Amino acid sequence: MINFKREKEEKENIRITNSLEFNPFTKTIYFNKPVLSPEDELALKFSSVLEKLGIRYVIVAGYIAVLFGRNRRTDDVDFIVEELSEEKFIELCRELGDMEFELMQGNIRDSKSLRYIYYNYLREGYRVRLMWKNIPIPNIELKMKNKIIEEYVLRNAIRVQLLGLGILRISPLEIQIAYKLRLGSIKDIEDARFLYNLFINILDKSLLNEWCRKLGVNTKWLK
Amino acid sequence: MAQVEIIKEIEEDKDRNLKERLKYIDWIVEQIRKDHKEWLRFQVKWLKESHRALIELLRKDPKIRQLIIKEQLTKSFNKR
Repeated sequence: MINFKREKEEKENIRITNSLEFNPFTKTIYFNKPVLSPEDELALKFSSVLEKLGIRYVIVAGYIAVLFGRNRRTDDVDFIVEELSEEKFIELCRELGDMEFELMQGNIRDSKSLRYIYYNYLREGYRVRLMWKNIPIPNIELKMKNKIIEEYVLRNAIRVQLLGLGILRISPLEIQIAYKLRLGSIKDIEDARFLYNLFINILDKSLLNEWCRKLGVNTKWLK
Repeated sequence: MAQVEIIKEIEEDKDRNLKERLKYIDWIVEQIRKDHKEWLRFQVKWLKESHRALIELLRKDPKIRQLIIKEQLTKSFNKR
């Protein structure tokens, strides 16, 4: 029965490019990436810790377009995580410290510093930045969900299975596109157009329209 | 020239510029559709070179690291 289900799911894969397939059953993008960028390595390293600790997360913003091939740099990879307790945050930082991550706003190995960051940054809705191996760009920008849209993307994240390398959970593309249009800078509109064109065959158009309506943006720059 | 006309001209120019840039984005997606793997090799090579250049810069002048961190933290603070 399980094999039958898997077989059926595999048959349902939609080919997007010679590197990308999407399974609508499991909401998984299978990505055969021949080489990894520094941004990919950073994102995979960070997400592996979140996966290990069972922390719900989702990647949002510019890195999503870069991941799939948009030729621009990004300063950071934006992670939204579920609400964490102080203890869980300290546990997360302990693991991250072991993997050569450093906090930009404090000392990742000092509990007092971590408590300060937890209560004065994360709990207050500010973002925390972490760098890997002492290199400040690209870095991780981490925040706890505190908005309705953030809860929605966390709950509806799609899996990107980087074949043989690991998993990344990213924001639903429809919301990412609508949100980018809402932000409205040239760079954001370009990202939205890029994602829209690349994933046009798998986008849920009614969901996209719904989010464009909710965010008060029109779709003229997508077509 | 009335203020309204000046603003209209600027807006039209902005739209024209954006349309041109979006044509380029469409061209990129076209290349990706032809051969995504090859495009990724090219893109990642470029990103790696850019990363290597940054590391070299940090090695030559350690002060830059602090300046980047300061700039990144300001960005985060403004995003709240």
